[in-house]
Amino acid sequence: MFEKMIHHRPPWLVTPPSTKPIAISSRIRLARNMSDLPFPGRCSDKQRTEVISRVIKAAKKTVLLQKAEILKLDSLSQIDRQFLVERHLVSPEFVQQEAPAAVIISNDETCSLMINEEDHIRMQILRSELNLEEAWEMINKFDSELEKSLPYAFSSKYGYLTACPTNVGTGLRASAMLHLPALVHEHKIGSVMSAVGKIGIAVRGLYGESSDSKGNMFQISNQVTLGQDEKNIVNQLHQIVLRIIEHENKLREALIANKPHQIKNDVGRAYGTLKYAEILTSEEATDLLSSLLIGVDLQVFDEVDRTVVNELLIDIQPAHLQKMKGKNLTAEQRDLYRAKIIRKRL
Amino acid sequence: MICPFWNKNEATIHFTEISNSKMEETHMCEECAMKKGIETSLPFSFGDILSAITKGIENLNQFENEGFLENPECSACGLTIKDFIKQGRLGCPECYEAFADALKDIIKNVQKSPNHTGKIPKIFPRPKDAKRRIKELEKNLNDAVAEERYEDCVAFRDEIKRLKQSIESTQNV
Repeated sequence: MFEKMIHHRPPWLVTPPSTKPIAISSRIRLARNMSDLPFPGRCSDKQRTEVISRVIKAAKKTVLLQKAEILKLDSLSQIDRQFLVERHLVSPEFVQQEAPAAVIISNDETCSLMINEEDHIRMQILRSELNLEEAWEMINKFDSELEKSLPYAFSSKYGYLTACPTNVGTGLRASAMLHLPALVHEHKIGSVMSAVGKIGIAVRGLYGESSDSKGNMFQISNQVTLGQDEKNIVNQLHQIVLRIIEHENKLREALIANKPHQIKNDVGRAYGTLKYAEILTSEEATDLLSSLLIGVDLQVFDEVDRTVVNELLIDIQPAHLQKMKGKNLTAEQRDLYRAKIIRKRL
Repeated sequence: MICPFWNKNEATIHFTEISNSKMEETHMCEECAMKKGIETSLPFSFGDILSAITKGIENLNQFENEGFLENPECSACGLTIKDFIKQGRLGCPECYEAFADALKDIIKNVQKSPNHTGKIPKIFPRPKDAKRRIKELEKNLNDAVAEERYEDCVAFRDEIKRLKQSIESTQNV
């Protein structure tokens, strides 16, 4: 499974060469629990194993996951675990636990389902670009198939019951990954964050261990899960993302009109460093690749293919590098290998 | 983590600041955040639930006085309200009933409204439960009409409609 994943790019990352999306990908996840068992945090190992076998059995009856790969957490090395996190297939919290847990991943990586994360089931659909509605349709259908064989915890007042009250109701978290270099460059991202924060939408940096904003990539997601139906939540987020994109586009146009030389200089320097550096940390490389993306999008730089840059953003992460190399690497070795791969592909 | 500004309280407010394209994470206790004029009560953020829970710890004695702790355990999973306040996670689906009073405030703080208006599993609710809920909602609807709370009326009416549909679909299975 991992062999195949290393050599194939996930379809949600693939966009037609003509589109230059600010929205890189869209994701919808649903949280669900069994009505007759405690939430995972309070389950015994035996109960957790019971959840795993029930969910696997139910998932095999669904169209999306009938032929999917099932990975038990205890069979995965630290690097495998990190690899799945970098691939956006599991959460960092999920792989940090010791108790019985598993993940089911569809062959094309569009759908994944964590068993025994904070809730018994955390399922997600990942699509490329801004396709939240499509992702919702897919996951809704999948969830309806699952519910035929699983007794979901549900109350008519609070909806789908979850371990944390911040997820109760629809159990739905919709998010879009956006590349917002102009908003960052013009110091406008903070005001976007606080404006959307007031209406229950969170903006977080995407890459890195905490919420930093390496590579100008941001994840925009809903915080409210109760009191609004799924279509409304998804539609509201979609509308807000469109607004942010509009804002980013305007700033990009202004940048290219007012500071063309500075932009060309930034992009050219980024390319030069990436093309010839011998040592590159993940942080530096991500930032430089982001500069290349904006160069391609603003049509001031055509030396590279956008898809190559997108792929590199995934491939230069620590576990991906070690999987490609086929062995454990120290941080210094990774920085050398990262630079080598980038030189080769550019 | 102890608040680096005050050095006494637990840092419960975590926020990200952006200046000159650099992002910085800062952690501090609620008291310092208030002193620095940082808005900690923005609706719906995760910080909200944390601060609601933190307030819960401060108010534990008050909870006791008000009788919240008279029946502090969820009879299904044994979680106590203290465990919940400490971990921020419930133990099982029954906890929503067991800690209904405490949850009411938390949910009010972090969610849009306290009533689910989204998807309902096809096999839920059992018709008996649905009928009971419909009766309750019809009463709520009448009250809302009398008090001219039109937004609530719409929400109650929609939920009644959904529950009736769910009973019909269960009967059709």
